[in-house]
Amino acid sequence: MDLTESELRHLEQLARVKLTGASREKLRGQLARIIDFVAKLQEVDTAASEPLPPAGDRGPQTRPDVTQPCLDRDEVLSESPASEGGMFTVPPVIDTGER
Amino acid sequence: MDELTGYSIEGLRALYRRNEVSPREVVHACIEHIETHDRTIGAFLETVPERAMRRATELERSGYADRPLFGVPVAVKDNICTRGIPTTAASRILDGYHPPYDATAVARLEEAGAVIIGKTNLDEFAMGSSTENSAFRVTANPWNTRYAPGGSSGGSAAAVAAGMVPVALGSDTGGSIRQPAAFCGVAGLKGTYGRVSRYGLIAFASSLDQIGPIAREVKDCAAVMQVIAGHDPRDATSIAGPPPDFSGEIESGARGLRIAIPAALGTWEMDDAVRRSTERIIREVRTAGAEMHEIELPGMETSIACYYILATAEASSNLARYDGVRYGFRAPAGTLIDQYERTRGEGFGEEVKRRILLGTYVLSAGYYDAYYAKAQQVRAVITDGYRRIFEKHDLVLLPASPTPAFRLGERIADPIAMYLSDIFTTPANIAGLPAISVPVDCCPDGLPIGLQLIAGAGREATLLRGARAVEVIAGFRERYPAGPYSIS
Repeated sequence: MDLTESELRHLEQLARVKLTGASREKLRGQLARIIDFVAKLQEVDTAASEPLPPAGDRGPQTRPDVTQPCLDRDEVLSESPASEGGMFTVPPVIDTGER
Repeated sequence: MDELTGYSIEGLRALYRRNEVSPREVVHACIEHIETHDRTIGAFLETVPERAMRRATELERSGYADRPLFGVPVAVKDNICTRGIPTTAASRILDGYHPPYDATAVARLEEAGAVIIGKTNLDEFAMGSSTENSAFRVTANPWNTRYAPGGSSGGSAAAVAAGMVPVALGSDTGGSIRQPAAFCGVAGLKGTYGRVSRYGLIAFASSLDQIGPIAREVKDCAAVMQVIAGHDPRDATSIAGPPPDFSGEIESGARGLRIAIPAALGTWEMDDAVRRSTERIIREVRTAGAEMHEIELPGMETSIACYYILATAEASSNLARYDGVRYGFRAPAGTLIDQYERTRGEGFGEEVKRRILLGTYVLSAGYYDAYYAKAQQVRAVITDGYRRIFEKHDLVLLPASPTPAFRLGERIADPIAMYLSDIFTTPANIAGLPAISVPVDCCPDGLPIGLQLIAGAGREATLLRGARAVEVIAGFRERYPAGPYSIS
């Protein structure tokens, strides 16, 4: 198959990954070949397959809805590239017209 | 290998019992061995000599000598969180990250008296089969430094093979413990899915990931598994109830074991030396009293494709958390969306981006049914096929990898060739089964060959019995006592 330029751009947007330079073109070709490779599964007859049991031996587990000790805020924030006043900081999400 | 760094866990325990050495002496010997040889091997991303010596001193004062891993130096794959020690998953996007908590497996090791020596190299986010996808360094195979150690737990396998530590933790999503163990001439065990808590394991593909031990001896794999296994409320998929006694039948031998052999073994593409070694072990295990039956192994044609759909789909979701906001690397940008896209574009390596994009593709509207849903159905077929095999057999025996170690650089440009090196290991992850790789031979080039055993869900004790029997029959350690020649 061929992965078109617009399909690749769509994938980059969905995955929030910006590809640049020569590696982008190389990756487009490789992805197309890998998709062809995994597409051979479509030939397998799975008509008789039973639905998979859930992961683990007992299916999804819930815990009692009670407060548990949590990580220390300052320790967690100290790992962030940017934080201020006990919060993570990020570039503006809403354009207020002010800069 | 230095005198104090060549011991098994059992050997170390005997020395400690007789007060012949102290944990400090053993830890010191390991650190020195690493300092001398890791410039050549590149197994470690980080060593913590001061922390390790402090910990050894504490152990000597504590009187914890009865603990199962008292004074045992361990290395931990760098995708397993260690509080206070950087944990990067060999990715630039996590460069300098200090987790604020320990993985459950790490906490259990330390509770049992083990001493963490450092963090080992891996393919970025455990995505790869040669450890060449690390953002930070190349790891060489200690048996021949021009060759890859396998992957993704290549640093752990190389560290154990080179005598730097007796045991190390790895993680196995599609063979990442068993394939490097085979390439480096050591044993590597992946338990039943849910056997070891995934809490603190940096997630790649959550329905497939398992932490497990790599050691020079099968018995050491059992001893470490006994410590790290067990229910953990912080992993919703962890198996309930106490784990079995993994060493309970370990010396019971091959007699009476019902072993399934793939009927198609003779027609599969593999290296001649791997084929000859596998056939020799089959003959000798039969002579030792095991029943051998030829079976048709499910999923050999489909497991790699099935695996690369499921694993990448899960990865594309799991790795969404690396957005440059809460930890790790951030590429500055004017808007939040731009920041996400540039942080991930610059912070992830090529293989990780390939897999995130493939996973995004197979989950995207219009393709989901044809790829992801289909792969789930194929997974059900493979799982059911194995369930039927284990109604009548105790173990399946097959090679761990179709080839011995390949040269560094040989497959890195061809992703599909790299993926196919996991052809014998992915089915056990897809079906959630325990499996182990045991070194049995060396090929004419002097590189190790590993044999793999797979058991039914929950049957690690039988798996380890079979593995120990193969280890004794193969006599790898007796035949290659000097170990890797680049080190000894």
